[in-house]
Amino acid sequence: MKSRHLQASSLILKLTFFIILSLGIMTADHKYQHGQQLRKTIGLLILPIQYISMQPGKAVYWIKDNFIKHQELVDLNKILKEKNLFLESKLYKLKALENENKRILSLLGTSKVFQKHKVLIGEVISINLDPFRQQFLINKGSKHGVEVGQPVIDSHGVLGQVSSINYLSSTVILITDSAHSLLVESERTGMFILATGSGKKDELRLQHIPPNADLRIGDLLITSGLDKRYPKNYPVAEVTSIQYQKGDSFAAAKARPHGKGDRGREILLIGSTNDQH
Amino acid sequence: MLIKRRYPVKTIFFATIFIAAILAILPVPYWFVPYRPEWIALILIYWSMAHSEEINIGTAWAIGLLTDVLLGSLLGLHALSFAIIVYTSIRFHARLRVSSLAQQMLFVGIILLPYMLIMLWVDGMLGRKINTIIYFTHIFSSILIWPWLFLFLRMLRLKLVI
Repeated sequence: MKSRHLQASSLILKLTFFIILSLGIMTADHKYQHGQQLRKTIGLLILPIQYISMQPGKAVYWIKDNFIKHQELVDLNKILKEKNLFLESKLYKLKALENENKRILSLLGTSKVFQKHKVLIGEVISINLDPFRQQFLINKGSKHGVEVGQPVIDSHGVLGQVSSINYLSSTVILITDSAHSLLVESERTGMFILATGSGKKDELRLQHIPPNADLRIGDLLITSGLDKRYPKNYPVAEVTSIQYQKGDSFAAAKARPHGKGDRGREILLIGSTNDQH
Repeated sequence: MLIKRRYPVKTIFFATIFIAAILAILPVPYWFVPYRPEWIALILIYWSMAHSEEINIGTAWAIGLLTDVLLGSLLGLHALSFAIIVYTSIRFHARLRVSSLAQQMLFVGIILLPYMLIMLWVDGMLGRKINTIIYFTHIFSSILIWPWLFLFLRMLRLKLVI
């Protein structure tokens, strides 16, 4: 009896002690941040409990994954293949668009040079209309205000000029065509040279070069502007070879045009300047 | 008359607490969550009844602290509640032992009430708005599962001769 009585009162004492302790910890955890440290320490003890209680959920997923029906897999595979095909084609289109964007941007960079002139962007439709001629078709015509004789360039150099127009398209004759000549200037020396097309792709013939002329391989040839056709100071070609045989009146020189011609796609048409017609 | 025990009581006790803890945080479907019984509290009540000399308030308090970390509640909240629960259970353990199962269920409900009230009070103090019906569903399912738990643990004790 006595021990029971003692037990009861000691119990109450214990309870009171723990109540106060708990209240203290609760306040500390709520008001201050001491609780975090204690949590971390105790948390280590908790780990096995947490780990075990995760297992049933994991087991369910495992079973679900491993016992998925064959038919479901086949269906899923089909859907994924279709999606993949669709996405791949989109990817190609995207790449093509990216490249076109790059080219157009570089063309527009060029157009700043011709601030006084009206500029029109066009696209090459087809190349080698006549295998003996150097010309191509572009997608701009009289509807767009294209005129015969308009210079056509790309971001690398002069391409040629418009030789005939239709309503929606025009023919451009390249500087490499044998019927075409333009007067160029050596950028280094200022010497004027007549550049005629050879009829061969990527080859210009430089006419009437005096034997002792100051011309070197690698010289850049630019438009002189003297023909009132092509705008001045635009790159045309680069000298590739100079040959002189004793007894000839002139040296034979060849140059390679900078313009990409049939290899590019977007081209610029230079219109007349705004203050002249 | 001393009955020779094959297993130390403390081990079995902590083993059951361990399992109760796992059950307390086991992932269950969302609709079941309000009906989760208070496993750890119930186990503590049982052991207070069965072996009131082995379990003391200090142990219950420490287990409460662990539960706080386990459940992520305010530190000391469950510690406080479990201390009170175990105090009540130990105090009246003799009376509880001889009651019928139905009466035990009633007692369990009464013992768990302060537990819930403390949680409610603290939630109110912290300014948290929680659906109060949850507290009652917890007590409700705890009461319902008590007979099964009691019988199960008693069978366990008989098997292990504790």
